[in-house]
Amino acid sequence: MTQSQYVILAYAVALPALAVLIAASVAAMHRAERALDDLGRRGE
Amino acid sequence: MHAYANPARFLSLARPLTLWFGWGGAVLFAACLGWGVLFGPADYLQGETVRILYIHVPAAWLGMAGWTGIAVASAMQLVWKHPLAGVAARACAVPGAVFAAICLATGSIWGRPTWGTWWEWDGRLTSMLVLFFLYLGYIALSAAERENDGSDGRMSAIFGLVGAVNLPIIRYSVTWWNTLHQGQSISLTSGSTIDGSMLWPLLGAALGASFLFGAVVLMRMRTELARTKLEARMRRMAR
Repeated sequence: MTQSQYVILAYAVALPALAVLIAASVAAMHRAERALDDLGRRGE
Repeated sequence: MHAYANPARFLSLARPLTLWFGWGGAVLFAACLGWGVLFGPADYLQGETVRILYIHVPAAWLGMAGWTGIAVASAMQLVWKHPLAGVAARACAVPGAVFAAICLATGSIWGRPTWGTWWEWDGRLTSMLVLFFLYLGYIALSAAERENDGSDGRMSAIFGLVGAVNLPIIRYSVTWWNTLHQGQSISLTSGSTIDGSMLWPLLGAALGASFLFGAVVLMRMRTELARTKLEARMRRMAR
């Protein structure tokens, strides 16, 4: 492997992991807060 | 600090901060990563592989910062019994583990062309791997405690405090032992041995990643608070 290929491999591993962390955190927050809002709207 | 231990007051601050930290961090991180990786110079010794620096070093710092956050929040939970302290500690765990894993993976990839090996059981690498395993243990323990309704999260708080003993070991491993890993090259007190053309994009990327880390922690805290409220209402409805 060339030096540039090692650089590409490092970012190909790191950036998707970071993207998954952020996307999963956003999705979980929206899901939990929406569920709470829905329950509140039903007057519970 | 004590004023924001109230969940309602915390949420009024956390909602706008999540957006500012998230978008501000993403823009700064992407810009500085692009600056360093695409326009920064190659190293005279390591060549092109030095470009891994811009993700590896921020990931290492944030992997350690995550456990510092767990330890500080755990101390606040045990001493002052702040209702949000345990939530904050648990929210630091997953992002801290992800950054520690990114640090280990990118370090391994950087090690292959530089040292001729993917892995070496030396002080810095091994203590960082121990930190990653501590994160996994903390995540499992705090999840098990949350399953147990009677638990006040004290066991995971104590685990968080005890695990902090690994942080100075990571920090000083390159000083205490002969390691393959290079010594400290950035210092607040004695200056930096990295040229400015690499140092500034690195510091910018680290600051951007820190804001992203903050945004993720806030989002995870908001998630846990919403779930706790939801579960309490469901229990009331079931009665």
